[in-house]
Amino acid sequence: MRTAYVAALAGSVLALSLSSAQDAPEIAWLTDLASAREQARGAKKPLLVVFR
Amino acid sequence: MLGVDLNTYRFDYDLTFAALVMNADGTTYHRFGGRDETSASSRLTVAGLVRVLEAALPEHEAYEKGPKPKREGVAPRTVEQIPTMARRIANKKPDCVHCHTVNDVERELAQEEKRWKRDDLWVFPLPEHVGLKLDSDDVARVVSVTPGSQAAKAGAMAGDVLVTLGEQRILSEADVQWALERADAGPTKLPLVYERRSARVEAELELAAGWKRATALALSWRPAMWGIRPSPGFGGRDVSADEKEKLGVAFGFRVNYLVDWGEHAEDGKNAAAAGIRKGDVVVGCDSKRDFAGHAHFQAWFRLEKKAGEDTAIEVLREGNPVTVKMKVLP
Repeated sequence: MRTAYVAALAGSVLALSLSSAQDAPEIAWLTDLASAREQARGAKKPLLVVFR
Repeated sequence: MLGVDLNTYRFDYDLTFAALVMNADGTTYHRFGGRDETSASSRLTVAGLVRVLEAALPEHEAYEKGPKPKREGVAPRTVEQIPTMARRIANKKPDCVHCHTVNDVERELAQEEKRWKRDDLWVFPLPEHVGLKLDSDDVARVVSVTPGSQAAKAGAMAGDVLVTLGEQRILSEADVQWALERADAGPTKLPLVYERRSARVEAELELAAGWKRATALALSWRPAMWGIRPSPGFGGRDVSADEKEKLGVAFGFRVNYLVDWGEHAEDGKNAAAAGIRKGDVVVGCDSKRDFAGHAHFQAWFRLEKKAGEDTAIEVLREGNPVTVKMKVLP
């Protein structure tokens, strides 16, 4: 089972599609940076932060 | 960027898209996102991002299992704490602070405090700046090496796979740029490790004094360009490809403003007095015509022109060539 990321979008919501076969399917798109960081800490998952 | 800790989320703030792959403790494993003068998305590929995400997973697992590095208690620092930004906010609090504003207000503060140097313009050098052309979908892989470049002198060759540069493991162009950004202005040596046919090669990039300096074209997309002087005092929009063809020029922008605001309104008055008019199509300056566009012209003028010298602006006015001679203001 693939390890997923917790993700945060700092700034506006991003319409980013990772729909290829290489997709990491469990990525949870959030908009709150602090919340994402806490979730990542609790789940011991890496954090993807996107600024745009 | 309001409220974002600049000591934790560190990347090229001029970008319109940047991603950080991190641990929740604030450690950044990798960065993704980059651009050049051609467009804001010129160096973004989904395949490249997916590769970074996938390759960083085992790194994260190893980090979680291993002893954590001691993190010094660095206090959070936000854009609001930068005095030049604080003054802007005091005038009117913005709903949103763009990433590039961080660089803008940092530069304004450095200029106010007389510690800003022109070499501070050169940030986050692209891999090509040291001679490395990388695969856009698998950026640790070297596509080509510029002969005579620092990378060539370090022995790198097409087909090599970058492992680390400085202390940064390389999965993206942004990782390379981060390692180069962190390196001294020179002279210095930056450790480079790469793999060739599964063999590990340890080398060094030898970086001479001033190695970060690049070209006006490379600078032309960065907002910092607009804050340096001298300035021509006018600007405009690139004419279309069709219009360039009709005019028989490879480069041209139509003047649609002469600066008549702010502390540098004298630049616009100077240009107007010299004879620049709205509607003129600028096609060259001092016999140079190979500009990529208006922004390139602006960056070139600011980097190359010296206060007090005479300059000749070549324009087309109602289709007729006119040369406007203008003194460059400090």
